[in-house]
Amino acid sequence: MLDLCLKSLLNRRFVAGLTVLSIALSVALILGVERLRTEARAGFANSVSGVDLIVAARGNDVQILMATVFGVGSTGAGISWESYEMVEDMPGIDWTVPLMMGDSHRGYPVIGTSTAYFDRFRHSGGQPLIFEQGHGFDDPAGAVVGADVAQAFDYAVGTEIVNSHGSGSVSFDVHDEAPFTISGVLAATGTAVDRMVIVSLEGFDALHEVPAAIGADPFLREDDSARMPHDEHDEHDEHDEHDEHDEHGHEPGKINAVFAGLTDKSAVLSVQRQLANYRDDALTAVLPNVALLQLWSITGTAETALRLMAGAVALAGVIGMVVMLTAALDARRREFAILRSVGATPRHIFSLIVFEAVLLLLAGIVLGYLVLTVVTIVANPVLASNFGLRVGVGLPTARETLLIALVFCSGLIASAIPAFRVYRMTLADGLSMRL
Amino acid sequence: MTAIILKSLQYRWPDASNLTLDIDSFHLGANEKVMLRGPSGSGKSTLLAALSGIIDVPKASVLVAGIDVGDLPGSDRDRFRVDHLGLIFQVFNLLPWMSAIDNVLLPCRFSKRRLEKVGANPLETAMRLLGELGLTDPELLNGPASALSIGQQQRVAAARALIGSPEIILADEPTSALDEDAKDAFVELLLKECDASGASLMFVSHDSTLEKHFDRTVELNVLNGRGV
Repeated sequence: MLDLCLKSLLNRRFVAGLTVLSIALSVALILGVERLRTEARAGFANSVSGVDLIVAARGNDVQILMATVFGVGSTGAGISWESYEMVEDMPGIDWTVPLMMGDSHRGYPVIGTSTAYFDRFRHSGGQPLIFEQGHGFDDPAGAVVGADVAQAFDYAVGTEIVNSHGSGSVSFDVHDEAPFTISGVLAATGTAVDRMVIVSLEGFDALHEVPAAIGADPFLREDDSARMPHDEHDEHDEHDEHDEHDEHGHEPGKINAVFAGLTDKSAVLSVQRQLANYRDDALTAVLPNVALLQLWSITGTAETALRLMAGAVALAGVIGMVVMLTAALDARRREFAILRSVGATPRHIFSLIVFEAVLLLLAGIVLGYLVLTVVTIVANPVLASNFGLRVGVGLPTARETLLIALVFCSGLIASAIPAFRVYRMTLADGLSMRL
Repeated sequence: MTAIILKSLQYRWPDASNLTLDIDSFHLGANEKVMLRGPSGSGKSTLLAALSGIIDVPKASVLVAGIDVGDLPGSDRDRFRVDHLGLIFQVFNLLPWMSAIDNVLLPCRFSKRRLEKVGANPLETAMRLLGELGLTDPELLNGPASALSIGQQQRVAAARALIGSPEIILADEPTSALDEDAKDAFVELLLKECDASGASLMFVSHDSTLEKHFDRTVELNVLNGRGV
């Protein structure tokens, strides 16, 4: 029976192939969305570990989390060094790591911090940062780069790099007056740190002191020329942009955020409250995991929309298969009559159609999985460098298996429609060959 | 044993006002070859449907190979059909995407009885039957059936009807698509093979030139009392 089915399908290989393709695409899409979603969540959740509180100027929890942990966006206003010292000295606080951000290096975020960052920061459930090469920075001109950054530009210990202001990958405002020398390269973590350039606080400040001293008047440029020999006349705009620095809050002595660890983790809520009530500066203390939950609730709607769409595509694939099977029935009346004449029962004919659906679905699912795997392998570098996401390649997870089973079962149930039609048709047609 | 016995067979299609079949009595003996002649609309198709268990007939009115077709439950009729009958249609007898050999072997897939009767090597039997019907080119026999000419297709269909030696061959105008020379050749081959396997043949046709090949000719108009 199975080989009858296979041969019959092969005879209609073009339409059958198209049907398999549409099922494959819907399977790939539905699994792709699921995988992207879970990997994004896992990736985000892995990015923060070991940090009990993130303290920043008063603002939105999610925004603070995104800026400090993922290097996406900014924290808005900065907090004063006095506030940092206050946090550091607070009872219950075990350690603190100051953070400055807002610059980028060829599209990758640059953060200014202390060497404590390398000791305190944890990712993926408590793993520390490991140096693939070199070590942390010992002087203001030192920089540590993440694995992706090092790989993207072939950086190694000793390479001299130049940062730019702002977070785009194309910047007209290049801080080539304040170069850094790479002192260390971090091992890959699979988190946002891989995409970061980490410099000292002093180095980060120095980056902004130099252009801040230039001033706005383009007519002063003759004095500048000694310091900025590469400047061209038509780059006046550059100086105007520098003016805006002050509004961004990158003044020396101000930092953007503080990572803090507590001596007693259970006191986290009371410490958070104390920080929120601090009078000299408007502060927000963010619990990373709570902020992540908030983030999920924001992205949840988009996720639901994506999953609904993927589901609709899968439904369209299944309907396409039913249409194909149904449309072929009339053309195959002769085939069924011949089979009936040699003893096939209407039940045989019924199962022939269901078998066909099973074959189409299985082929579609296998092909879809292959497509997904290939797409994942091809897209991974792009996803990793642009979004810091890595989508795993491998066997389906339990949830994915469930989704596959769902597609398969709905297809199987839907195939009962043409199968019942053919059942009734063969009963009515009998052996009549009038066509 | 008498191959077919019809006894006061009456049949009316569900939405028809007249009886389509009204046959008082008909016998087809073992290995008897009968030509059934009648214009279209004389109830040929209905008679074939009655013989092959496609339509519900009254009990004891149709006996095929000693089996009361009217007494068979629906699911048994499909097995009865393949076990005891070999069918040849007018045209398009073969599944076009199967090889000629696989087409011939089709009844053995569905009927244990015919598989048993076909012997230890069904493939060999199929090849022998096809060879006797003049089809020997292995390339042709293993290629898709759609590549065969109509005459070749009808001979493959005959081989399929004969394989596993069913008691009765029902042929529904199998020569209507063949040219004059091929018709006589086909009928002769078919008769020869029926003799070889001991099958009875009911050959439906309106072509009187073929009469000479058969033991007797039955006019369906005469047989079917109330027929049109």
